[in-house]
Amino acid sequence: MRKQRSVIGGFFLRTFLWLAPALALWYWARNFVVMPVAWLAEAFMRFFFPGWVSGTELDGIHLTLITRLVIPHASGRMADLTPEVSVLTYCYGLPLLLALFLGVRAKGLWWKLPLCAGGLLPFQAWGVCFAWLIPIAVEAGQYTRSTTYFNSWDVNLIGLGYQLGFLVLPTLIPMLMWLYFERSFVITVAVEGAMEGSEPTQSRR
Amino acid sequence: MARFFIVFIVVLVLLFAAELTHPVQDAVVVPWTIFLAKMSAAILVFFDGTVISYGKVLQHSVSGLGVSIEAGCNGIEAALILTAAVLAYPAAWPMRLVGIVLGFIAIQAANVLRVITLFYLVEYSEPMFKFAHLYLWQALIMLDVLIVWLLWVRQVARHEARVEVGRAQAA
Repeated sequence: MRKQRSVIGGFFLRTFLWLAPALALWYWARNFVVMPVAWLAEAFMRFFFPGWVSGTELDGIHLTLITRLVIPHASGRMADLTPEVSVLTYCYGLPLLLALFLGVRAKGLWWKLPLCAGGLLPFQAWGVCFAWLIPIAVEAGQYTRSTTYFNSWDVNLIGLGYQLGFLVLPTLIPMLMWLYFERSFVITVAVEGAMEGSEPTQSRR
Repeated sequence: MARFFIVFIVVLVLLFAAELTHPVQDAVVVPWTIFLAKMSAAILVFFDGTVISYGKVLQHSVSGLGVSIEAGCNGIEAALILTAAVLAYPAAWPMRLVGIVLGFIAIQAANVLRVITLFYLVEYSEPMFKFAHLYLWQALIMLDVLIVWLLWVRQVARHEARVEVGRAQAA
């Protein structure tokens, strides 16, 4: 009897092959992809720090936070602190999610993908916000503390939030979303393993 | 499923917070990153004798171009995610230990490939290097984590089925 191909192998191959076009499409549409993230990141910053956040400026994929914080400039004069972030750095989970759904031949992609894309936004905005907060709270902390009132505990939390938002959340959240919607695939994998585990004994009978 | 997600998130945040502390950085993360640079250089020397490594840097001794392996590029975070996923899934402790150890090796093998490809891309094309570094390899490493975890889940089910069949035969 011919051995059936593993469901994991097929899934990996399809996901791997879909990842390149998904990334290419996402990168082509990058200026549009970052817009909702930029909007949400500004909304978060305005909500949490109304005292010193003035607004944002989006230029392509780069989002600048306009603040009322003042720091000394290299020229010797005082300057407004306006940290800039590449929003796309926090958004690559979307093409990964698309490739994962296509890799598992997910049903209902038309509603799952938009729903997950919307669900990713707060986490992507998280990354952008904490990337702004690092220069404000850490690099220029000595100049901004009198306005932001960040204490050492806050600075540590900002550091943790930034590391999570940069290193873990962009890929982890899409993975967890995929796992939730396609949990039947994990069950299929486990069943495949269980059947293989009982095969040799059956053949000896 | 809810239990898996809760345990996974709690374990991951704990592991990640521990990883960021100075003692763990000094004792594990930095030495591992330096070892990774040395290992990548040792592999590359077979094909390209001008590759050197010092600290976290992998460099071409002729052109002077190279890459510095920073946080997020040493595979530690990916290994932590796999560890949390293995610990959150219901399995016997020996199986979990096997999953964590072999998974770490599989992730680091893919990570060495990432470091080597990025090392050559930085010489070839800056935009391609940035794209591969910031987006493509990040996604591929996470895909590697998922595949390793799925293979382990299948192995756990296979092992448990064998144990069950063995018990049934003994009875």
